Amino acid sequence: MTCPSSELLVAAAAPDAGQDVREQVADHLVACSRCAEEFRVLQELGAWATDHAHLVDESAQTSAAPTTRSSVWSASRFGSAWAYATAAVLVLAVAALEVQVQRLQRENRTLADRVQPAPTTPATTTPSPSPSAALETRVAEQQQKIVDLEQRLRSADAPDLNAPIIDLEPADARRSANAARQTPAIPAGARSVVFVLNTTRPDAGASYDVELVGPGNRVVWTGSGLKQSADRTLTLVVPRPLLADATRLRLYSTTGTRRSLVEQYPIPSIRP
Amino acid sequence: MKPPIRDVLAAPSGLDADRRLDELLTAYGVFLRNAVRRLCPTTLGVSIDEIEQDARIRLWHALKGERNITDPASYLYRIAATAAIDAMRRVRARREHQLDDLAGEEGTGTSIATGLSPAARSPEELAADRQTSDRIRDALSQLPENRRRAVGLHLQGFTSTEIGRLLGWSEPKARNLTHRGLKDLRRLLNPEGIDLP
Repeated sequence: MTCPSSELLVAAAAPDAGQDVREQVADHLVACSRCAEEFRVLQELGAWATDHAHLVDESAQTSAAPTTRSSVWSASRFGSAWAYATAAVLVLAVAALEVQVQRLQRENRTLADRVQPAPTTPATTTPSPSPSAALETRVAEQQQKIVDLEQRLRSADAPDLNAPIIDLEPADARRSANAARQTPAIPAGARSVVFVLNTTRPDAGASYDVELVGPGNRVVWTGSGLKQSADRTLTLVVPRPLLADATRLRLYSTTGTRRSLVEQYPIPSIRP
Repeated sequence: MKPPIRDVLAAPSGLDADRRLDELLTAYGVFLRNAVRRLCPTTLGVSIDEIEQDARIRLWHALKGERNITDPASYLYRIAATAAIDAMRRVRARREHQLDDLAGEEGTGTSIATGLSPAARSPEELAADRQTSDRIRDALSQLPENRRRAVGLHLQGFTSTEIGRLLGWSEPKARNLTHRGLKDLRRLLNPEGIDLP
């Protein structure tokens, strides 16, 4: 069996192929799987080629190549009308910029002439502090900050004597059962406060996120990993300065990315 | 006003083949390369550059022979297609030659009856396949001409749209002839114990 030439296959795949060519090729394809495979590729690409040939034809018609050597030379030597137009616009733009620069230079010179006599006039405004005095003030402030920080660091390393321990009940429980019971105020001199948080949801070992919240629901501090002990309480030691702005303490449980409020505790006031 | 490129290409007098080739490739070079890329299967290991070069040489020969090209894009597509098919055939021929050297004269075509390559089958199975293929071929030859072509192409994997496009038929006509032809073929093959899917 002799396979038809590639030219014949391509001719049969063309839309304008004669019926005899089509049938001749079809008779061969029935018996030859390789030519059948080749022909199917040609058929699939025929539609693509028709579409693209049309587009390329249009493009070639509009941007047709020059016909003679002289026109090729002249086009490359002198360029198109668009190139001339672009060059003209650029020249005008450069000229306009040059004028603008010269005008600004003149204005500059005029302003400089006006400013020069100024030092001879007596000063009438209030004297501002000299740069060296301002610098000295800032240095003194920074040194004071450093002293404060060192003091806090030293006290943080030392044991906290007489740290108050305050039992906190959830806000809901306080409203319902022990409304009359008063939570003691935080002593003013305390460095830190130990809060024992009681919960209405016993779940020993459960871990919670904690938030100290100030007025307007502003979060003062946040942390995670607070665990419920076997006696259904949670313990949290908070430095007193942190409590200055905090009004409530909130416990959240986290499941996946979802966080839900478990308990909310009002923070007692600091004793004056 | 410049004349359109197809007039330039259709008028060989006064223009040398090299310059016409340059102009044609300037306008249609990307199209030619895209056509080659689409025609060239990546699995056969055929180089796109080689096919494109072959297509350019064919084009140059055609222009040198002062052939009038009235539809450049269509002509370039045909050149790309023939170059691609010839390249594929050359690669296949080389591979078959190597396989023949290794496996003797068993043939390498895919069996029409089983769809398996001969290398994967025993000699007895190959003989049985050949018998089945011969019977199918005999039965096909008994069908009326149009049904024979429709069913034969269907068995080669052509869809009714592709069959219609090749033979200049409408798709419903191709589908109808395939359906009737298959019915005839089953009727002829069933008594011989061959079931077509």
